[in-house]
Amino acid sequence: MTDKNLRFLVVDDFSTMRRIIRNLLKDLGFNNVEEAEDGAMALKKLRDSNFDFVVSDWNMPNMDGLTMLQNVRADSALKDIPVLMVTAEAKKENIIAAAQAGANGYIVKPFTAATLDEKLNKILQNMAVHA
Amino acid sequence: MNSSLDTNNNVIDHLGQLTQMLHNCLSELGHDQRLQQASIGVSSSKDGLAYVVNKTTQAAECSLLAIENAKPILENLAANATNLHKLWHQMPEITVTAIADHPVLNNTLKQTLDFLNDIPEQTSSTQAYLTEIMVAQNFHDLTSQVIQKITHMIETIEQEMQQLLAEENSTKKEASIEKRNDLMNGPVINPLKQDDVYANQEQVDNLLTKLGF
Repeated sequence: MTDKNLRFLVVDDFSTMRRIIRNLLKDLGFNNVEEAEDGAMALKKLRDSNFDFVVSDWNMPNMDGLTMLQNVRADSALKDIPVLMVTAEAKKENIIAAAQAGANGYIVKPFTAATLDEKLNKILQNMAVHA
Repeated sequence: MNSSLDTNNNVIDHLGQLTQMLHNCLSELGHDQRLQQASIGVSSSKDGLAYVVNKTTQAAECSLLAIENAKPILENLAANATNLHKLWHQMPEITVTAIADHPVLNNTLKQTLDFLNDIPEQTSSTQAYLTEIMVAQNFHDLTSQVIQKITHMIETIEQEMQQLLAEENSTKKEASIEKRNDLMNGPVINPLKQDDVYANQEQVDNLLTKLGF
């Protein structure tokens, strides 16, 4: 049974996309959701308080999602937080770069509610196994 | 590395010469005015794209707000129907028998109970449709990213045209070819025209599995 109190950070420069993901998470029972509009703001929020899960876009101003992911993995306090990439970037190099940087999942936009549900659960199950 | 730099420099030189030729031709033919008109056209196409972004943003936000407002109404409807259905089933035996004695009343009650019973299922399919509409709004993110790229391109063209209009010696200016960031290409517009893209989730999953992630 997944802990519905998990605290999510949704990172995307488009407010519509943040809202869509927030609503989808709500439908899945996760109401504890915060938002950040770029990688730099996300890192600040991650360092200032505790989050259990990050859902992030790639292409954003100030700091992109890959750089944010690399920063998260390089930070001893943050390195274990699962990061799910949700992005329109669909080149092979992108997918490989994200996987190598330690992304826990990769969803290509446009996506469906079922895909988000599936990837999220897969990551949460892995978390439970390794907990 | 050096040879590719040489090739680049050759290309830039060549482009410079072409630009100079174009510039001379335009002046000789008196096309400056046409160029000015084209420049105005470029500027208005930029406004047109900004309009599209603006309108689609409004439409997407309006849809999201409506969906966010509709969902709790459906939740309430389902909860109330379930509750009412339960209340009817908790009626004292004597009331049930009394109603059963009136065929018309009994029939109406039966229909009402069936109706109440069906509501949660119906609201949950409506919720699923609303979710579909909500997720469909991600068109806004994708189309805006594409439009941003095009707008950026138009701005570059616009600047170049204005420079040409200012009758400066364009050969002196080094063409500023922006370094293309290979990892930020935005949405795939036409998967058939682009190699090496994984535009659907199944392909992404297969690639990751193949790579052992």
